[in-house]
Amino acid sequence: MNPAPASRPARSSLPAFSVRIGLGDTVAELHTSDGNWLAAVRERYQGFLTGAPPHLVIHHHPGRPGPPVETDPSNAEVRLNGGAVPESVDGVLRTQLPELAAPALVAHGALLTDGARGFLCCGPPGAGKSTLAALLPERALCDELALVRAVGGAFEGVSLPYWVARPGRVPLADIFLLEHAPEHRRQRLAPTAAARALRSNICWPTHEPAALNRTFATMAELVGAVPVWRLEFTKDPGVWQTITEEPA
Amino acid sequence: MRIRRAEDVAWRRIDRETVVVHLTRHRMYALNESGGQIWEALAAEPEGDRVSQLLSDPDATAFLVDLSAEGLVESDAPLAASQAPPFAQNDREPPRIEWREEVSRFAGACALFGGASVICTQQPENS
Repeated sequence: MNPAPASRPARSSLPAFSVRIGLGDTVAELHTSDGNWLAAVRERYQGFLTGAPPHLVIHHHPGRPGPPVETDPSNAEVRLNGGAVPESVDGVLRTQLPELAAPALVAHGALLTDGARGFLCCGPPGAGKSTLAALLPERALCDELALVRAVGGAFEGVSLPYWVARPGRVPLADIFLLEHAPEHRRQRLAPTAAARALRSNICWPTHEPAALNRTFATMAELVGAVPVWRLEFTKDPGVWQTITEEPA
Repeated sequence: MRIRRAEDVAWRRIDRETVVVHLTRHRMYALNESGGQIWEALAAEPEGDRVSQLLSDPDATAFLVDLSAEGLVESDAPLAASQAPPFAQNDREPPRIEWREEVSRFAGACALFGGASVICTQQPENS
């Protein structure tokens, strides 16, 4: 099992106008002097708030000029300046999480679970991620974004907040690429076909070649370790049987 | 002639194919099995007999020209496709790029600011 990322020295209490967000093993702390920002972030990450010590600190400076986001990897700090918006926190976490939880990547997919196994259901807008999560609310951990992390020789899925989400992490058993169709059917993809299809469902860190290389390496390991399927489905909860069926 | 893989590329053997990513052009490629063999040979022996042998095979030369056009390999002299017919004794599948795709962030979800940092400025479409 990979060790959890090293946290910063713990403080006994959280400063005013701060919030800590726990995503799997990783905790990010946001400081802001803007109460509206704090409320927006608290609402967005409701259910993911924690008191655990942070691995990443995000400082929001509402009136400060400069680029909206400045990162300082040396001390795991990010500054959000005047041009940033509350959703910038999403972007920061999406960019930093794979680095803090490495080897890991962020996928565009709904994460479902039967309690023991995780099923990542990917697709572009309109493919049916939120539809599937709404059909199976008791199975859905999240409906839009998930962290996929290598743990030993296997992978786990970690739910990330977006539209609907609750905290959760689960060993990843299968990956599905969603397509609407008249009936439920799944078809296993060969590893390279899986890599090609998954490519458009991964948040690639194109701002930095080294990070892009790490994400690529993680994806290559992923398609070799976790079966990838094309899942055709209709709006019927019976799709759960197709998702969870054991391969013949 | 000396031919080598470009610096800004990463690659992995996945099953029988070789998947290559150009890290600055943000494109992904899959090479078929014989293409992957040539790709691996370029690492071990970027010049000398092996390259001379490759350049005498029109299929391999065409493949290298294709790789060069995509910025995946660099050579110390211009590569040109050979007009010679393929080797008659060559019964393997010709080396080729099976597919090539863009690698991008989530469409519409993120924007690049300040040249180095990615922030989310709008919501992706609901699905």
